[in-house]
Amino acid sequence: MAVPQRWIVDPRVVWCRVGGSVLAYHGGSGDTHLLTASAGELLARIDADADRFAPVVDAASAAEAAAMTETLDALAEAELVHRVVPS
Amino acid sequence: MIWKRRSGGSDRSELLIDCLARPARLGELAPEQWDRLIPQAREARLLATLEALLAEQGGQGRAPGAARDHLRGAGLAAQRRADALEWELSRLVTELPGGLAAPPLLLKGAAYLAAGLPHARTRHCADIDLLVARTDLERVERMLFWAGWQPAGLDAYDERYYREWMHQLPPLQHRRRGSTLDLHHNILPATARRPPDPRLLLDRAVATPGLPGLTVPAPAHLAIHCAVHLLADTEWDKAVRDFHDLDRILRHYGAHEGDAFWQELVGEAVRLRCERPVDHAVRHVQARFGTPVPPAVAAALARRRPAAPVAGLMVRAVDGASRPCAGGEQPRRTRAWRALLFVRAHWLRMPPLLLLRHVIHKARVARAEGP
Amino acid sequence: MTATTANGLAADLAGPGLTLVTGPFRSRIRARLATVAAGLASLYPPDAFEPATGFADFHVALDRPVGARRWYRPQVRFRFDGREVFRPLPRPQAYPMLEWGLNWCVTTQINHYLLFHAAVLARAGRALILPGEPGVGKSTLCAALASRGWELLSDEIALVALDTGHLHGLGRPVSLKNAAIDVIRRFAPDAVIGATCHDTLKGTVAHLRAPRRGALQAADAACPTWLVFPRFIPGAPTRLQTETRERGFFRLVDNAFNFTTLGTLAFERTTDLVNRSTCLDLTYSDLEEAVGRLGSLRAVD
Repeated sequence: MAVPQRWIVDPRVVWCRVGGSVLAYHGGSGDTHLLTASAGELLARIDADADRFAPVVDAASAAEAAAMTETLDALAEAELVHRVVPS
Repeated sequence: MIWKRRSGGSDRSELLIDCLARPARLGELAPEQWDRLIPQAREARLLATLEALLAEQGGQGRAPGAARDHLRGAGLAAQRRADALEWELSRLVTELPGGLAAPPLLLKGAAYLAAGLPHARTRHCADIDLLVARTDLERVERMLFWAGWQPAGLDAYDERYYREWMHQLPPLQHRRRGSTLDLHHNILPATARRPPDPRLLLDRAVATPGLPGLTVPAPAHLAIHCAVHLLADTEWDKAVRDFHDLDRILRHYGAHEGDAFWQELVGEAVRLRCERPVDHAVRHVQARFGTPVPPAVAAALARRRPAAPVAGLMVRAVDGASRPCAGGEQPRRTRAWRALLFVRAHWLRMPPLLLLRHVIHKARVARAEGP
Repeated sequence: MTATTANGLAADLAGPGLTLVTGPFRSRIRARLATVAAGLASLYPPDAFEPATGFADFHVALDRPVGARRWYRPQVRFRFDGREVFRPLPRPQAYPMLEWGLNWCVTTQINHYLLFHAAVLARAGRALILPGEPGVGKSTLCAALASRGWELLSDEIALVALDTGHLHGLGRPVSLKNAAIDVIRRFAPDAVIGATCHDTLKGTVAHLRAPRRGALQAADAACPTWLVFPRFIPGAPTRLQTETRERGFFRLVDNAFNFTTLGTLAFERTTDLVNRSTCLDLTYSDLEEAVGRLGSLRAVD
């Protein structure tokens, strides 16, 4: 069984619900990202539970886990979240 | 001392320098003085610096609200610029090739930030300056090109001017991020009469913890480069800021590393063949900013000083040129000193024939672009 | 007390200078040109002028370029902090140059407000924000609204306070261009419009004096309530439609002057402004109808 990945939100990122979406601003790059409501929710969950957030474990089903992984990859690509490499 | 402070009328233009030298003054200024100080600091890009100094004094309550607003706005902008610069450096680390002869060395503003100098976060810094070994230059340039760093628009003459005669390549601009980068292979042009050996800087470079693969100059080299850059460059509008940098660098390392730093400053100035500019610049900040320089260090630097009339002229020229002129017509005297230093700066950089060609070309371009 | 007749202002402008108080800013102005004094006297209320003492945000001067042609096509230059920041313009354009120059001062030197390219009006402390590039008909709409009961805060620059998110008045006249000048003369026959200046880079320009005093005190601020993106399209029917907040955010940021400069703080202020506002998209050709539709807007909360 793979070691569950852990994530943190980049400390320079702030986000805010706007209309039906979430806007996330990266204080380093200066880019604003338009996120779906569910991606925004994931961001909030990681932030609230930074020490143990392991989405693949927390997902209710395999399909949900896959969707989460995909969202997390996209968030990581935008540098909004980072994988924490276990030491 | 040869240089004497002019009495009387010079007070007005010295307000900014006096406030930098004695920040306690900031708490005592009348609105009319703030009315002169803000434009001077704006010209020298030192508004954010003044905000930090005022906060250190706990004197915010005594400055007029409107003046404080300008400082606050500049402080916010400086904070954002420092964040953006840190981000840019974190990108750059991933874009540089591995296996180089020496890790690329940050210079000036980016180096102050990466070295953690306290004044760096409020200091205005428009671009990144990077020094690489001559043998690495081509590889670094090629890798950066593929990462999106491309030459900002230049005409063929400018391109040749940079490549053949200067100590840096034409400025690079990142295609997507828009940031600019100056790639240097020396701290003075190859055509300079006494070019320092850049390997000396690279050999003693200090690693930066957050930026693997990038280094910053050793403390003495930071101070020496600041002094050399100050006297070799032609951006006289920002001279006050550069002197303030030197003052901060000397104070910071003087306090944290004491004698070791001062000894290295003298020793490295000699090794890099930069004793004269370092002597000029250190004397100047000592006189104007009250920088605490141990007498033995000042004496050691003075040993290689040129004959008295030349040294005196230099100090007066530097002093005259760096006077702020905001809020009024640039005084004729300041303009003259600036022109003198411009010629001197280029004289040190280029052999005379080249200087003539450069001036003629620039004059032609200016005429062609004129109204 | 500073004199407020054109002659009195001219003497101050040519001598010690005078302070023009507009919204939260004080501009110290020097000029030796009669048209500048006349323009100021006709477009600003008497209490906007103060003597040249104390702290001023901006120091500007309008004068003749050094060694310039004295009689043949004379020119005027604008200086900020002693430096020339624009190319000189023909002398008859001195007054518009002052107004443009003062806008330049705010948009390039001010970072303690978040600034957008937008007209702002208010009713009972509630702000209507009309962002837009030049040419979308924002100034015309702004002038029309200002002559029908809306309080004018600014026709070109929205000032958003960083701590409260409220909109502050800039206290300046509305700049009208080309056809808009006659449109407003017909729309509001009582409007005070200053001298017309032809052949500028923007065509013919004239300024409309704020019908009521714009919010002059920094304390007079309005809460963001309606964010409307206007567009004048000849012959188009009047349509006022809901715009999504997400799109509203990005359209507003497209019109920001210092969003990038202020970073995270600007993001927080802008999302806050958008979330407090009803976002709408307006296309119109009939000014009367557009003003009527905006007049019937009600605050939701």
